[in-house]
Amino acid sequence: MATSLKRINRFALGEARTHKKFFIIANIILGMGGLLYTFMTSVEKTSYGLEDISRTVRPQSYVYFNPSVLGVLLLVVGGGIGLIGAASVFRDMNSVQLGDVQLSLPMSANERYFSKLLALCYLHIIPVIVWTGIPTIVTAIRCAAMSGADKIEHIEFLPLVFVSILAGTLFVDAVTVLCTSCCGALAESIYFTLITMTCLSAAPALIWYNLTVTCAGQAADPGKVFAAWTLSFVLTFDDNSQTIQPVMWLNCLISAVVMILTVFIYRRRDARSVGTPIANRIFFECVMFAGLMTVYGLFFFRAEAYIGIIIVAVIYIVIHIITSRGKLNAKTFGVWVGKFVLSTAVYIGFAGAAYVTGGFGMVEHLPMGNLSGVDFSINLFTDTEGGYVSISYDTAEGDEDDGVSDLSDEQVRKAARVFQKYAAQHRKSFDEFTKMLLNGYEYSREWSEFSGTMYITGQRTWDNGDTYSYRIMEQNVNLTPDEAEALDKELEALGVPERSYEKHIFTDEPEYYDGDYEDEVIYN
Amino acid sequence: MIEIKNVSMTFEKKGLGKGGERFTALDDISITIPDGCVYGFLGSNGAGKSTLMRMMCGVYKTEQGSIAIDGREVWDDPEAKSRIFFVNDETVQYANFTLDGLRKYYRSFYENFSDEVFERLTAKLGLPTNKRLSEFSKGMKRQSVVIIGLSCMTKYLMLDEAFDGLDPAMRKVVKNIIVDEMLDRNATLIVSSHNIAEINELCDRAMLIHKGRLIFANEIDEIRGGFRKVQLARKSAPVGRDELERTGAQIMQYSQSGSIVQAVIRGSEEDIMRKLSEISTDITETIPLTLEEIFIYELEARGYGNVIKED
Repeated sequence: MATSLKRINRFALGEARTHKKFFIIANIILGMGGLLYTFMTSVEKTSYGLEDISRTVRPQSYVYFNPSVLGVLLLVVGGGIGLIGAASVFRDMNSVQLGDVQLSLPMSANERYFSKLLALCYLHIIPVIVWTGIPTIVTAIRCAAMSGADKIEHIEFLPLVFVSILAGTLFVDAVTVLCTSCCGALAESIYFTLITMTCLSAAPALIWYNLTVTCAGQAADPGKVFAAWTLSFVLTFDDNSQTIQPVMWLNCLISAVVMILTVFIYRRRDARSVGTPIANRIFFECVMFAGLMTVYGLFFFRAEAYIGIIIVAVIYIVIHIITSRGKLNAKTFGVWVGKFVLSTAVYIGFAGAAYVTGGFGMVEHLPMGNLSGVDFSINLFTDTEGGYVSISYDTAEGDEDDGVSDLSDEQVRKAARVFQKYAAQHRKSFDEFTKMLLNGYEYSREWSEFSGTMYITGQRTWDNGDTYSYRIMEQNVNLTPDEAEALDKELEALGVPERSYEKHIFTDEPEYYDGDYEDEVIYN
Repeated sequence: MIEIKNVSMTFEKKGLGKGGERFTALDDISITIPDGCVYGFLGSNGAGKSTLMRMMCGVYKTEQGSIAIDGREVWDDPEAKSRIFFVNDETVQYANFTLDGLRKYYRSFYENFSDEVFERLTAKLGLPTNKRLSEFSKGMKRQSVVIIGLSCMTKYLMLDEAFDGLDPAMRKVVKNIIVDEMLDRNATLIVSSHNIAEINELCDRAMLIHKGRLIFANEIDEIRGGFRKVQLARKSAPVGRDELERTGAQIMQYSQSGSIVQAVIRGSEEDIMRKLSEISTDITETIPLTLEEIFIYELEARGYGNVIKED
């Protein structure tokens, strides 16, 4: 064991020495970033008056800091170039000559793999930790050294920046190591790394969006879950700055685990697969499928769905042609087209199931946690009878500015469930599904009966105490006027105050072209 | 001792072309390489020499059969691999190294790495240790890698086309250096080369493979003793091939020019002369074959090179 560890470290040092150029470049970028972050970050103290319970105004002071954007950006770039570093360290997976040298060295495959990981630590991960850690510590000391301050504002961002850069770095390194271990050629390892990172970062959010907004008709916050092992975690910073940190540490851990587990792929390979395009066929199929799902997630249920299908088809076939090194025949081409059609069918099947089940039941079970208020409205239109129904609830009694209600939490939840119940009753049709899939949500309206949209605007309180209003439900519905009235009665029974119910029926053909309608009867 | 037992290797086209080409690179090869010898690997282009070498140092996993170095299976065994050093036929992988950098690199893997050997040999060949190998000529790169291979002080040194790119004078110098160093420590040298004269001169044992199959493996003297070129002259009528074959002689090559017949026959001199004694000729002469001739006749007998000859 000791001999093995010694060998691993010896080889890691030897390997690191051969990548001096990368080490120097990485340290220049990271060093500049670290120095800018250290010296260009402003730490200031400010005071303001605070009226306390005894109505005595006393000054409060707090320290705040503004990190150097350029410094952080350079650190991020320094983390990102791990793609080049990791691909270089694992060049034995795609260079026949280097494979000959390294695979013949007196080491087992496990030792070689872990020594390469250690070399990657020496070359990239440790410099990232050092150059991001130094400014973090210095800034923390500067903040603490400001005497007489009552509190340090947004101090949680300081460790968050550190752990986020580290998580991003490890993510890039882990995905690159995984992809390089699965590919036999350098070009494939690079572009498959990029595809994999994109899929991991974008696919969960796109699928979540399509399940919730498109199929369940409700915007639901994915929260911290989708920050896990992606590069899109930065999007969640604003709202979760205090609670996102554990997720970032979890990301680091996942990356480390992925890097360790990749040894099972690495050690199975000998030099026979070096130089071939894709060494691991399962990996290839998984990435292609994930890539396809990601792009479909982006394009389906949008107005540009057709463009998406064409783009995906072209990319799918081109990648197959590249990886087969242009050896194209009718049979293999047929297989690729078959796989493409099958993958597309899988997505459409998944989308269809989501549509029919209302986002796999999310239409009825989306959590309403942390809601502090709601505002309801229902607008139903028809052209068969000529008219519309509008039910709105002036729930903004308590806080006119925000437009949210004083309804109790229990009332809000119950009212939301009533809306969800009627939304779940939304009559589905294949025609509507295809329209939604290919043209997007806005084109799916059925005008044959009272159809329209129900909205719930909610107010959410975040962990840091901030609140903001947002649309938590925007649901297509097909309701008959009787159903609309029944829904209204249910809300009334819940004590939703000050409903205004309007039903407009046109007695003559409406003149759509000029927007003015005659002989309009309004019922209140 | 390196024992290669029933080794076979099939290459499969990986990736998306799977299901396409498959070819057998090695087919049931069994040889033993004793300690302290200089062993030559002979074979046509694409015969499987380099594949076998790569398997012998753990670059390729043994698909079928076994390769053991001093009783230890070589694949994924650091201990077995520490006893063999492989110099492949390329030097591009070392381009960014200086000789000194290469020394440091390999010193971290081979515990017995000898700085003394390294310094002595670099001085002898006059190679700069602080210049990148990319600035070296092809011959200098080869010399550098050979120096590294010798400095690692492994029991077995394997050189694939090691003398490519060296001028004749330098070939001789490098060969002498290798042989001296290896003999001094009773190490084993395994060399592959297309230059059969070189193998003949350098090696005491050799093997020949063609299309992945072993044709022979033996001591060079034994190999050479196993073939004879025979000249037969008869004024009345030249000796026909059928007549020769009726004696039981294994004819590898037959040619006739007037009344003189030349044939390459497999077997020892005594054996061949005994068989030919059944034929009445005016003159019967036998001459030994060079290793190069044996190589050519053996491969020709298997159809190799005939296409070129026909052209």
